[in-house]
Formats: sequence, structure tokens, C-alpha cells
Amino acid sequence: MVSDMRNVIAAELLKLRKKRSTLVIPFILVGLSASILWGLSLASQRNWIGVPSAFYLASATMGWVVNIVGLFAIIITSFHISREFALGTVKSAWVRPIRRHVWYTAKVISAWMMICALFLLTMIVLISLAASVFQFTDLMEKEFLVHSAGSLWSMLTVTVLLVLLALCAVSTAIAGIAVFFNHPGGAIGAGLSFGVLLIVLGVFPLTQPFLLTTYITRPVEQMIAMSKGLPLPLEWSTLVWQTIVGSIAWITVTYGIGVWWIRKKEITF
Amino acid sequence: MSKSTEPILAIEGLRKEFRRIMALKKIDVCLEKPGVYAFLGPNGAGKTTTFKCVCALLKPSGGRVLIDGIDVRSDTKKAMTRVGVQFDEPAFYPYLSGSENLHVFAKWIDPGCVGRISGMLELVGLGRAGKKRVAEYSWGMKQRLGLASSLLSDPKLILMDEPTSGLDPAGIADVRSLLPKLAYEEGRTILLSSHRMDEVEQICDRVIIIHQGGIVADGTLAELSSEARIIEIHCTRPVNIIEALRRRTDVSRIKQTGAQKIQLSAPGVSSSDINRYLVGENCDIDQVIEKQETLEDVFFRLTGSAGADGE
Repeated sequence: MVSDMRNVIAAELLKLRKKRSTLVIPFILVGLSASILWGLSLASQRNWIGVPSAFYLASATMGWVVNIVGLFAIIITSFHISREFALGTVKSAWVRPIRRHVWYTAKVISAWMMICALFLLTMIVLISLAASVFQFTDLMEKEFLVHSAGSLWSMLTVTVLLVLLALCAVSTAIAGIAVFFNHPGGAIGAGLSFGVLLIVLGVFPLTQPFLLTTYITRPVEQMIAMSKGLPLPLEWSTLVWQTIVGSIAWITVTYGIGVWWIRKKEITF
Repeated sequence: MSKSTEPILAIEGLRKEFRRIMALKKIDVCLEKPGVYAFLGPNGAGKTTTFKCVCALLKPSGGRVLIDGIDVRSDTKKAMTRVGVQFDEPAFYPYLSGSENLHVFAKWIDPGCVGRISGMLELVGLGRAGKKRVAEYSWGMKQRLGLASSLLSDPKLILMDEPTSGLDPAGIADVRSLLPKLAYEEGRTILLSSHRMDEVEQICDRVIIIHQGGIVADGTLAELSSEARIIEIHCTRPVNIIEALRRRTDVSRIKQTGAQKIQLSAPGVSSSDINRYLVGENCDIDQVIEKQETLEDVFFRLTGSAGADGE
């Protein structure tokens, strides 16, 4: 099973290398992120918002970037799964000696790889650009040390890792939706509707802790607060624990739905 | 090809229902030895549904499919190692070249198959075009690539849905010469669906005809055509003759096949009986001859001209 999955992932990477979107999407994302960072740097240099710190600039830009990458995650995963049905290539895959759930798992993992690579690439560019505007130094309030540069780096790394996990959960959930559709358009529409529903449910304090959107935005909000020296909404340990458990629960449930349907799905076209 | 005592394909009591529409009623097919077998039927008869059940793209509502003795539903992966499929609509990644598409498929089967790719492309006449993007391929080139893809895993059983549709005359000739080679020299079993009766007559050993979800005939061409003969009447005024023939209850499928030619089916009635009858009816006839049915005649006799539902 592992070697089958490795083979399917290798095939996905071969396809990815040949797609034009492999170059275009990172280019768009990095360009958008750099523009946001430039706007925020101007605002913080004039003391309109935030603090003149590279940590703040990277964190605040990340707040925007996670939403954009989340949107890309919906589009990329929907295309990644549903396009196989739209092109009819899924028939070619399923008549090979490969189990459907192995094929699906490999597709989900390769979608994770794409989305994580996209987010990490953007973060590397953001951190480099932020370093060119401000210094990654200790956060001081007059003469008092609020957060050392070391602790800020650690928490920025934790935030990036938590967001990566939450993005993988988003991708898995969208894959679980996309298997029900034979065209990417339908899958993207359903994925976006699902995202809007989660945002609406996020208004209610009772449902908020269980929502995927919470796991993406909360670590970044915590990091922004930390980089500005504000009181933290949650203990880091609580936030890490809640995000990991919540994201893994979403991955497990939505992956289970995807596997169940992919095994049941009939190719009538 | 490895030797096995099991039939390469055994379809036993296969049924498939789509939301109360019975697409396949009860299909029984057994292909025991290598050869080229034709699976014929009008549009919507259930050919593609049968193919999809055989290669596990559809789950049967009843019955079972055994490939080389392996139940497709209980061990799909093992069964599929023996099968190559060419679909009616070839599907590939348009942004990849023909060769890269085959690389992707090879990785799904076994990375060891990668070594066969260039040979397969040469075999189907895409040696040079293998490096072009599939988006630039014509339909015929895609059909050829589909054939190469179906052969990639060195299968014992090859299912082909309309393998020559969209091919130019040279392509059709290539496929017609390739299939017997695959069957008799390499020991593969090929089950193909086609609407081209001439093609089937030329290359197939056995013909299976499906109509409205059920098998209506299964046998060699000689067996099927010897079951019934047709009577052909050459005359100057076919209208009067058709009217006279319609008054007989033992005559069926009367059709005008030319300006001065009529064909009919009359089991148990000789051409001299028909001759005498028409002379008695004052019809002006030139000649009455008995003919062996062609595959097309057999096909229309068994399936009628009306389409079927359900696929």
C-alpha cells in the first residue's frame, strides 16, 4: 500500500511539474503578499497601526496570507480531485491495479504538499521582506523587555506550523466535498459555500471552538497580539493543544467521508 | 502470457440497475481461450455498462465477474493486473505529452512498466508524436494513445470500446492487423465493442450480441448466420410485391434494399414457395434467390431497428 501511494504521489508530482499553474499560482500569491506587506510597512512606519517590528510585520501580513492561501487551498484541492472526474482520467486510474482509497489518499497528500509548499514559500519571502524593512529584535516597552527575539521566533515558528496543520485540514475537508462532484466548478462552489457557513457559525461563541476557520485564524491573531506586546487571548499551550486536536479531528472525519464515498462512487460517465 | 485453466473472463448472471432502470438483466459470457471477441449491440443496449462492471467502475446489482478466476469485486486490485481497457472516449492530461501521460499511467501500475512506453508508442504509430502535448492530438491520435495505454500493463484481457472510431483508414487498417497479432501471437483475449460490422466480420472469432440489457446471441459468425436465411427478390415494381408479401403471416422483416430489390425473412419457407406465391398474385418478378445472412442481417434481425433504453 505504501509503495502504491508513493507511486501515485510520484505521478502527481510529475503532473505538477508540467502544469503552468505550478509557476503562476506562487507568483500571484507572493506578489499579493508582498503588496500587503508593503502597505502594512508604510502604515506601521507612520505609526498608524501596529509597531515598527519585523515580527509584527510578518505576523500581520500572515493574517492576510492565511485567508488567501485558504482560498487557494479550496481551489487547488477542488481542481486536484474533481478535474480527474471532469477529464475522465479517473477511469484510467481506477482500472489500474490500484485501490481507490490509496489513489484518494495519495491525491489528498499531494494536495497537502502543494498547499504547504505554497504557504511556506510565501512565508519565507514575507520574512525576508520584513527583515529588509525592520529588524527582528526583542520587543521592548520603554526599558522593559516584553518578549525576547528568541521567544518571538519560537512562537512565529509554532504559528506557521499550526497554520500548516489547519490548512491541511481545510484541504482534506474540501477533498471530502470534491469527491461528490464531477466538475471542479461545482466542487469550488460547494467548498466556498462551506467556508462561508463556517464564517457565519464563527459568530456564535458556542460553535466557534469547533470550527476549522478558528484553527486557521486564531494562531495568527495570537501571534499578532504577541508581536505587539498585547495580552494574549489564550495560553500558547492551550492554543496549540486545541488547534492540533481540532485540526486532526477535522482531517479524520472529512478523510473518512471522502474514502467512504470514493469506494462507493460509480463511474457512469 | 501465463497459462491458466480458468477462463480469462467469466461473467455470471450480471445485473445492473440504475434507479429502477434495469440496464443489464442477466449477462452470461465466458471467454475461455485467447482470441478476438465482438460485443455488439445498439446504442444503449448495455455494452459500456457491461465493460464498466467488468473493470469495477460500476458495482453490479447482482451476479459476478471473474477475471482469470479472480472475483473483480472481492479482489479488484489483483483482477485489474490482468486487464487493459481502451475507453470509447480517450481521456488524458492535455498539458502532458503522450509519453508523459503513459509515464503517469505506468506509475499507477508498476514503475517497471516505464520501460515499455517507447515500444508501445512505436507499436501504435506515435513514436514521433509521443513528445507532443496531448492537447495538440487529433481524436485518432488519442485513440492510438488509448490503445498504447491499454497495453502498458501487458494484460491478458483487453477491453476495447469502439477502438477504431475516429481513426483514418490507415489507422483502422493498423488496428485490424494489430488485434489478431495480439490475440494469436501473444495469447491475449480481446473483447471489443464496435458498430462496424465489416470490421467484426474480418477480425472476430465469436460474436456476442446484447440487446436491451440481455444477451440475444452468442456464437461464431457461421453459427449465427446459419440459423436463418434471407430471401432476396429482384423485380421491377417492388411496391406491389411488398403489399402481396405483407398478406402472408409466415413472412417477416420485409424491406426494400434497392430500387428493384426486396429482402425478407421467411423461416421454413423456400424461395420456390415465395416464387409460386408471387406468380399466383400476378406480381412481376425477375428473380428470387436465397442468401446466407450477413452479420448485419443477423444484428438487425435480433435487435430490430429501435433503440434500447438503460445504458
